[in-house]
Order: sequence, then structure tokens, then C-alpha cells
Amino acid sequence: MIRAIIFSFILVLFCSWKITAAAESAGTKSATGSVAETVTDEASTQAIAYADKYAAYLKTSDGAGAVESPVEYFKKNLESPQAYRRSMAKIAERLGTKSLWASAAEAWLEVLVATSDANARFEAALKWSEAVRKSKASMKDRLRFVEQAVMTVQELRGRGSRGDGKIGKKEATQIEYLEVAVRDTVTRMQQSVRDKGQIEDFASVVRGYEFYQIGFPQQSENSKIQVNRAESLFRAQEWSRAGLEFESLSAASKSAEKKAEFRESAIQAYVKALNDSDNATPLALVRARRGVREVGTSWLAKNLRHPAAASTAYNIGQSWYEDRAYPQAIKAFNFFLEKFNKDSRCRDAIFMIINSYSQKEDFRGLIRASKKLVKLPALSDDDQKAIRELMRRAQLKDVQTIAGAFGTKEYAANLLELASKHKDSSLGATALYEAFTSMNSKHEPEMFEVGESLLDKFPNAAYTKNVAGSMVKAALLTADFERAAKYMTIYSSRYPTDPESSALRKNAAQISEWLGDFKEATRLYRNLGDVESVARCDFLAGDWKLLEGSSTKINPALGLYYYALSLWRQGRQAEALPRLKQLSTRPESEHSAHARFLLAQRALDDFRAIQMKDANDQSALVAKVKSFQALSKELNDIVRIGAGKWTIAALYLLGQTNLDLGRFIATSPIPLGLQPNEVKVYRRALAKQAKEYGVASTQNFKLCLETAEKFEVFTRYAKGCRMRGKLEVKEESDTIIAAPEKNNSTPKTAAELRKKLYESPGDTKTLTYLAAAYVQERQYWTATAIYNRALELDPRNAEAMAGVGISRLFLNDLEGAALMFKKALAIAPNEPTAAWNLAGLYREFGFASHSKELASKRPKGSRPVLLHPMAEKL
Amino acid sequence: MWSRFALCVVASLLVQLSAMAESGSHREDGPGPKVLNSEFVAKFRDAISRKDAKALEMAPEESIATQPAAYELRLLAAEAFAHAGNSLAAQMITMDVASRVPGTSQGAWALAALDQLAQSSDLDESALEDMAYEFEGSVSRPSEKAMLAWYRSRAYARRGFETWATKALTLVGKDTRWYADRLFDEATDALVDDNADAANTFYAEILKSKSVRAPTREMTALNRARLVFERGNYAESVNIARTLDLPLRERARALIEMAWSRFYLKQYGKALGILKVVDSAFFESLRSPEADLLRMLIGRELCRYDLMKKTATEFRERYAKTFKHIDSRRRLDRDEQLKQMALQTRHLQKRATLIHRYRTERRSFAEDDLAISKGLREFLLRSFAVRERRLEAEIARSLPREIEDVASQLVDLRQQISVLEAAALNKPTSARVIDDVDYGFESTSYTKFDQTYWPVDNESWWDELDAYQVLMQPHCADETTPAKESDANE
Repeated sequence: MIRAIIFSFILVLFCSWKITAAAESAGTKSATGSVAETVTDEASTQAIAYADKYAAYLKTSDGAGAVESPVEYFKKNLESPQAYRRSMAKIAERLGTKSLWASAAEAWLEVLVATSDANARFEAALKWSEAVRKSKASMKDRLRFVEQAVMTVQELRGRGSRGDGKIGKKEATQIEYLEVAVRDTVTRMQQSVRDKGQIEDFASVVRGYEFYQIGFPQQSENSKIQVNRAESLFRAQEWSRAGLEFESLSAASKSAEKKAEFRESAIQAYVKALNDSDNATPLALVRARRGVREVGTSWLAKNLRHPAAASTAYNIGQSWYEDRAYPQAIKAFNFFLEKFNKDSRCRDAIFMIINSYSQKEDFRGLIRASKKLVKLPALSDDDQKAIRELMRRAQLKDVQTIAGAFGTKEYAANLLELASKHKDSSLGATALYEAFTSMNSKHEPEMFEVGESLLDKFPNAAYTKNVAGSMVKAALLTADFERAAKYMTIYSSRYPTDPESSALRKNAAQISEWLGDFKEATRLYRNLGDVESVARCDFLAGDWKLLEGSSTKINPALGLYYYALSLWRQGRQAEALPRLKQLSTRPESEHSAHARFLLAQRALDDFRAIQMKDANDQSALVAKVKSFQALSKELNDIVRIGAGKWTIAALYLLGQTNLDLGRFIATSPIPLGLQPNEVKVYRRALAKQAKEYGVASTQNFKLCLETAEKFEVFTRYAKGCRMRGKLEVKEESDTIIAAPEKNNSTPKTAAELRKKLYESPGDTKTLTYLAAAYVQERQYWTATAIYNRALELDPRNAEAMAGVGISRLFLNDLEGAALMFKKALAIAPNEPTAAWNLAGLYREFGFASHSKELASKRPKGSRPVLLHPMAEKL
Repeated sequence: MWSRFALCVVASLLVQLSAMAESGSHREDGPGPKVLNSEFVAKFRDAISRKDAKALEMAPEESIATQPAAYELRLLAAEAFAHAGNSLAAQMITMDVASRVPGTSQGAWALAALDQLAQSSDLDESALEDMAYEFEGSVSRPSEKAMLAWYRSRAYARRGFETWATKALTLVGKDTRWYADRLFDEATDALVDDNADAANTFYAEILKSKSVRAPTREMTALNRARLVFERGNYAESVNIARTLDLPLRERARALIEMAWSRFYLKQYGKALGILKVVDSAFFESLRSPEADLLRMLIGRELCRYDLMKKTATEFRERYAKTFKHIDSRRRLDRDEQLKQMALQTRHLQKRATLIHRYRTERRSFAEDDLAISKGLREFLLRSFAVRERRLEAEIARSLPREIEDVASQLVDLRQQISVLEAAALNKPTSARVIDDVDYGFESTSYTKFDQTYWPVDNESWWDELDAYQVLMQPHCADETTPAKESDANE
């Protein structure tokens, strides 16, 4: 830059000398030039008068009585530019005579602009130069002059051209003068802003040099001018153009020192251009990228310790990168990292190397490079994490490339093969994951196996979460609830802190309960701390021992019932009794009715145990009668409560009680010492008395049956009533079968149906087919869950309702089954599964009237596939 | 088509100049010859109208060799030049006479002739501005007055005298044809201010008016088509452009714009057809690299990656020398191709075309004996040389920056084409062909070749432009984007 300053001074001195010489030569000849146009006396007088007034104002101005500059005044008050230029010429001359050179220059410039004739323009330019040499001019005026002078030169060339292509002597002299004047002006422009100039000032200087170059292309190659121009371009932040100028100066320079100096300036300019790329045109960027590479590479080799070396090396890499020349970019950035490993741009260089490999789709190269680069200290923890993620993705892409076209059959097969070859490596895991992704995208059921294998073999891989999530989704969509629960459990146990885990575990427990897997459900509920559900599942599972424990942890309202029942069912009736009594005093409910019934059952056993030792055993007789009265009263009370099944059960017990009392009387001991005929009479009397209780018993059983049929209560006690007491019905015989199906093999048609479901998860027809397949495989809990999914989608689906009915029937939930059959028939009166199986149920219980009602709904040929043994006899 | 265009110009000039001649023969009213022998004038004009006659070689009688008569003879010569299609020579003569003898009948006639000439021909407008700037005579006829005011205002504005320019503009009478030029300029200002609605209103007003100079009317219609294009109404834009009778330099640009419209209308065959026209020898010097980008985009739409690769290769080959020049950071003005492209930018192209016209006209009379007016040949040669240099100087002033812009655009295009090519390289050369999609032209027989086109070897094509189209089979697989050609808005 210092060199540029010296050049400028030399140039200014040279120009001043040249101007004087040229003016002497051209000026004399232009004395007759056309700038001295004819001006009317009046206009001339006015102009001169105004010039005098303005001169007086300038010389004595203390700020008062301001006088407009002639330029402003005459522009406003004259009719045309022609009149204006004539007046301005007069004023300029006048102000010159008063040595007001700055104002004179301003006026001459106006004359120059307003004049068309080349000679007159030359004269105005000459006058302006003379005036400016003795004063100052603004940057704007200087640039305006340069532009106008260059236009004048072009005009002179045009007019002065002779037939042989040469320029006339006069015009040549004029052009020579103007060249010096323009060069001097531009040089002074540059000199005046060098120290404190703003960007826009240097932009004006650059424009000035551009005009000079247009007017005098040959002289523009002058190295002194080029230095000034390069410096101005640099200061005007025209970086790449400055780089070009410096590069050109370096190439032309014969001195090694200068060469190096200009080369450094060129590099500096190109680097600036690249750093300011948002403001650069595509051309400027190309120049800067190529420039920094071509000039910078050789310079860097000898100047590695230079303060700008790191920046240059980095920008060389960046320029290759931006030109998408990735191999070169990688090489350049590696060089940068090797030589300047403490530079703040190392991080960016690392990422650009990795991205270069990525752009080249050289994934192995990326992985190889990343392994090395990730260890560099320039990277933060987050950066390292990001690079590892990039490596993972690269590995995935590499695997994809090997496997062929995504989605094809071979794709997943190739990947699985690859995975088996690299079982324990991350490549194997990636291949397996990609195979899973491919199968998942194609809805292939094998995805579950591959997914499970992934979860099993690579439990800590980054994508297992995604795999588990995908499998849960796929299982739910395909109504594969067992799998869904399983994957939900895996997910929630592997990612316990994940926000979704708790909800997934709950869902898993719920699904296990639906599937009748109460053991698993209990485990999950316990894990969730849901004691109520744990107790419920122990109850549903019939695990009385566990229920004994879990029931104490829940709300006593239900807990007492569960606790009493658990004791009862374990045969610990004596322990159960006080709890049952406690329950029986509660307001009328299913639980209190059940408790009272159990107490009555116990009382019946006690009642039955009362037997006379001999005919004189009066106390036993009294006890039996009292017991009878108490038991009858209790049972009648239960009947009056009218709690469905317990009413029928109580009537059954009432029948049994009367039957037992009758038997007690009929078989009571004969007093000793009676004559045979007396014995006969005694026995007749007993028989008569016993018969009354037999009749009462029959009435109880009859009422029991009538009530059961009337209210369609499907309980084994009704069957006991039908057998008139000959069948001993156990209290737990109506319990729903809780144990999960022993046969848990998947139906053959399930895979195909599930594939269809994957495509259209809302297809209820397919869902009912799938559920029916499970019914046929005697997996009634699973079937119920699938039918319920269909009902969730279509709450009026009669087929699904009937499906739930048949499943419940097989699970011994007779009430539940009948309810669903009736619902199905209400929607679709001829629904075959519902009509046939409900009819079978009625028949089983001897509800003849109901059975008849359904006869019309079971036409020939409508026999359904799903048929319970009760209905098979129809 | 061009010969038709030239005929129209000549016919219109003939009507105007005959009108001038008729009024001149009456001497007492309107501009025309006042001092020349009317018999000679009639004979001369008769010679003009007869194609075999060399009117300009007719020597006048010695007795009419006065100064006014000399000017009238020159103006008659201008009539002859205009008739022969040498409108620039006619312009130079009329401007010279008008400037030399303002306020005389010859001066008035010269101005009227100049005004008439400007109504139908593309003239050297900067010469007109210079003339108007210095012209200080009084003019009574509204049209000539408006013409001078119009060019004067432009000359003032060019020198930075905005107040005087605005004042001069008010003298452009509403009832003159020059008023449309004023509106056209206002529309341009509106566009600069990003007010397309206002510009559209101005254009509509110009097109409604009956008094509009032919060049102004054409440019107005073309600009309106561009506005319509900007607003996304591609079909209408094409329809407007098709009706225009544009100068060659505008045609090349308009063709590219039409091709873009066809592209946006998804009429890829037609778009490619137009691009083929652009590639013809007729437009060789005016070819824009934008055509390659458009061809790449069409290739992408049709999944014709082979076409994309071919186009990218051709693009690189076509501009290889220039790119080498740019990449080597050499002086841009030393690359002929770049220079040529820079000269195609609108304001430079107009000047470059004028230089060419000056040279062509000069050749046509350089060897002639212009006996009609002494010194006329020398005057014209000198004037032409000055004007040529003036235009060259104007170009020289704008060229450096224009070349930079053009080079920058070319580099930008190279980048865009490279990106498109990179995408194409990842695709197979040919995918499964969908046989039921045919991009053929209904009235042309479909060939089995993948690509065929109508060769363009002459200029008579504008009206039939829509018949040119490339028959192109798309190669999109059905699950991707089968780019069906739309016939909407046809």
C-alpha cells in the first residue's frame, strides 16, 4: 500500500507538469473555440451582475444576506440549457477574473455538461482544469468532469478521424491534454480520500478509473495507474476486481519483491471476497475462488508462517468445496488441519471434509475420515455426537448401496445376509436395521422377527427405540395385540424415562388383561403401582392365594369382598365367615348378595349336619327346626332382594333346604319299644309331615326355573333346580374361565389377514375374519380383543357382537354371551352366529319359550361355522 | 416475414411522402418544396416510384442552384433514400436541413419529413436528441413541435437537467403521436417503481390510441406481453407475442419468453420447438444461453435425463472458450463471445444494430453518383462516420459493466445447469417408456424417433411458430411424475 501512495504522488506531479504543457499548446488554439457563444447584451449584463453579486457575497460573507450560487440561481430562472450554458460561461469567466476559482470551476463544469460541440466542450474542460488547479473541487464534481471529459475525448476522436483512420493534429493535441487532465483528476480523487475516505468515496474513484480506462484504454495499462486502481478497488470493497488487478500487477512486475507484495494483496482481496460472498456476484465468486487457489497455493508453499497463511489455506479448501470439487477440497482442508490445527476454523474444515465425502457419496471414505477427525480437539461434545450420527447415517447409506434397489425383494434378503455375515459388528446392526426398515415399508410380517432380533442382539443401538416404536405401531394396526403388548413392554422397560413409556406400560397391561393373560397383566400393573388392577386381575385369574394378599392393599369397599372370597375359595370358610357377615350387612349389592348367599350355603351345610341320635334326641330336632326357620328366612330375604343369579341360587338352596328337612323328618329314628303296627303308623305320620316339605321343595325348584327363564338368568343353579336337587351345584361353577388358552399357535390365515390389515387397518371385515380364525383355534380371549377392535371402529357391527358372544360363551361367561347375542340380533335379526348360539344356550337351560322365538331366525342352511357345543344339538 | 415487414414500412413511407409531395406541389400550404420547379419535383418523385429509375442520379437544372433550392433537393433526396429503405440517410439529411435553416419553409419541410419518418421507422434516437437539444428555431405544427419537445426532454434528462426535461415533456401534445412515447416512458418509470398495475394502464392507453408510432406500438405490445407473463398468464402472453411484428433483435428475446410460457403451460413439445427455432442459424448471433437452462428443465419434467446430459454437454462445449477465459481471470472484453452477448442486452443491442444499419446503408450508396445534390455523398459519409463513432463511444462506455453482468449471468447459468446435470447423472439414462403419452403434433405424422423437429432455414416462420414442436417421449416411470402435456388455453 505504501508503494501505491508513492506512485500517486509521482503521478500527481507528473500530471501537473503535463497539464501546463498541454494547456499551452491546446489552449491557445481553443481561444477561438465555440464556448464564446453570442450572448445578448441583456443576458450578458445579467450574468455578469449576478457573478459580481455572488463574488461580493463570497468575499465578505459573514453568513448574512445569502446569495444563491449561480448554478442554482440560473437553473431556476432560465428557460433552457442553451441560455444557461451561455450565462454560465459568462459567469465563469467573470468569477475567474476575481480569482474565485472554485466557483468558476463549478460554472465551467456546467458549461461542459450543457454543451454539445466538441471544441466548445474541450474549452470548458480546459477552463475547469485551470480553475481546479488553483482551488478545490468536490468528489462528485471531479467524477462528473472525468465522465464529461471522456465523452469529449470520444467526440473528438469521432470528429477528428480522417480517412486513413488517424486523428487530426488538433484533435490529437486536445485528446492528449484531456488524457493528462483526466488522469490528474482521478489521481487527485484517490489521493484526497486515501486517509479518511469512505467506501462510497473509493467507489467514485473506481468509477473515475473506469471512465479513464474507457477514454484511454492504452494508457490504463500503465502500472502506476493500475496500482492506484487496485488500491481503490480494494478500499471500495470490490474485492475480486481488486484481486484481479493485484494479480495482474504481480504477473507484470519484474521485481521479485514487488511480485510477492502484489501477490499477497491479491490473496488478501480474494479471501475478502470469499468472506463477503453474500455480496458477491457469481462472477466475482468464480474469480475469487480460482484466484485464491491459483495465487494462494504457490504463495502458501513458501509462506506457511505468514499471519495470513491459515486464512489462505482455509479459503483454498473452501473455494474447492464451493466449486464442488470435493476431492481437492478434502485434500486442501486436510492440509489446513495438519498445518493450522489450532485455528478456530478447524471445526468448519472438519465438517466440510465430511460433507465433501457425503456429496461424493463416498460413505466408506466418510466413515474412515470421521473416525480420525472426531478425535480432534477442535470439536465440542455436541460436534462429536453429530459426527457419530453422520457416520451412522453413512454406514446406513453404504449398506443401502450394497443391498440394491430399496423395496425390492432382494433388498431385504441381501441385507439379512449381510447382517448374518457381520453379526457382532455395527455394520451387521445397520444392515439388520435397514432390512427391518425395508420390510416395514413393505408391510412384511417378517419384520417382527427381524425387529425382535435387532432388539435382542443390539439392545443399545441408537435405533432400537425407533424399531420398538415401529413394531408397536405395526402390531396395533394388524390387531396383533399379543405382540403389541410385548413390544410396548420392551419399549417401556428399555426407555423407562421416555415420556411415552408410562402410557405404553399401561396399555400393555390393559391389553394383557384383555387377552386373559392376568399373570402378565398383574406384573405390569404391579410395576405401575396400580393395586386395584392387580387385585382385579388376581380375582379374574382365580388366584385366591395372591388375591388374599393383594385385596388388603385396595379400597376396603372392594378389598373386603375379595379378601372374604379368597379365604372362602381356599377352603378357609371359618376365617371367611366374619368377613362375609360384615359384607352381608352392607346395603344391597351384588357383593352383599353373594356374601349372604355364601353364609346361607354355610348355614345349609350346618343345617344338613344336624341329625337326631335317637328318637329321644329332642334337642337335635329343635335345633333342626330352628335352623330351618332361620335358613328359610335368610334365603327368602335373598330372593326378595332380586339380585339376578343370587335369587336363582337362593331359590335352589331353599329347595335343597326343604328337601333336606323332608328327608330329615322321613328318616328320623323310631322310638324304641314301639309295636310293629305302631311303627307303621309312626312312619306314616312322618311321611305325611315330610311330604309337605317335599312339596315345598318342588315349588321352590319350580319358582327357581320360572324366574330363571323369565329373567333369562343363565346360571348352573338353574340346572340344579331342573334336577330338583339331585344335582349338587357348586358356587364357583359359574366362574368365567380365566386361564389363558393353552393353544396359542397363530391361525394359519392370520398372516395374510394381517397383511391386509396393514394396508387398511380400518377394515372391520378383515378384523372379524381374523377374530373368527382365533375362535376356531380356541383362543377366545384374543378373539374377543380383535372383535372389540372391530366394534371400536364400527360400534354397530352385528357380526363382531356375535363374535364376542361366542367367545364369551366358550369362556363360560353365559350372561355376557347372551347379552352380546341379543345386541347383535337387535341390529341384524338374522345374524346366524348370534341366533344359533343363543338358541343353544336357551336349550341348555330349558328356556323353551325363548328357544321357539328364535326358530324363525335359524333357517336351513344358515348354520354358522362358529358354534358352541350347546348349539350343536340344534 | 421480414420482406413483408419491409414492404409495410415502405408502403407506409410512400403514402406519407406522397402526401408531403402533394402538399409541396401546391406551394402555398403545408411543408414541401417551395422553390423547386414543380415539373422537376414531379419527375423526380415519379422516378422514385419506378423501381428501375435512379432518382438520386438525376442532376437538377443549373438555374435552380440557389441555397433554398439546394436544401429542397436534399430533402427530395431524403425522400428517395426513405423509399429505398435507407431511413438513416433520410434522417441525417432532414436533421441537417432542419438545423441549418430553422424558421424557413425548407426547415419546416425537413422537420415534417423527419417527423413522418420517425412515425414508422426505427431511427437513430440519440442523433435526434442531439439535434433537438441544439435546435432553437420556432415550430408551429403540433406534431413536429411535440417531436422536438419529446427528444429535447430526453436530451435534457440525459444531461441531468431534470426541471427543463419535465417542462419540455409538457409540450408533447396529447393529440400527437409523440404522446404515446411519453406514456411509454411513464410506463417504464412505473415498472422501475415496481408498479406493474400503473404500467399496464399506460400500455393499455397506448394500445387504445390510434395515434401511435409503429415502433412504439410494437414495443408497447411486447412489454404488455411481458407483464402478462410476469402475472402468470402464459397463454395470453404467447397469444400477444404471436401477433407482434417485432424487429429481429426483439424476436430472439421474445422467442425465449414464449418458450418459457409454453414451459409453464406444460406444453413441453411446443417449448422445445421454439427453442429449436432459437437454435437456428437465423438467430445464431442472438442466441441466449438461457435456452439451455430451459431445455434442461424441460428434460427434467419429462424425465429425459439423456436430453439433460446432452444439453449440459453442449452448453459446456458451446461456451468452453468463454468459461476458460472467465476462469482464467482474463480481461472479459477480450472474449468475443462475451462481447457479443453483452451487445445483445437491450440498450446496447439497439446501438449495435444502428451501427450495422449505418454500415449497410453506407455501402448501398457509397459508389452511387448522388447527382441530385452536390456534396451529398460526402455529407452522408461524414455524418455516418461521426454517428458510428458516437454510437461506438456510447457502447464503449457501457460495455465493461455490461460484460461483467453477462459473464456473471453465464457463470450463474453454468452453476444452475451443473446442479440440474448432477441430479440427472443420478438417474438412469432411460427409464421405462410410457407408450400412451405422445408429445407429437396432431397434424404431423408421428415418427418412431425419439426426437424430431421442423428445420428452420428462413425467416418466414413467425406466424407458423406454433407448428414447430419437438416430438418428445417422456421417460417418467408411472410412480414418479408423468409430465403430461397440457393443451389448456389453446
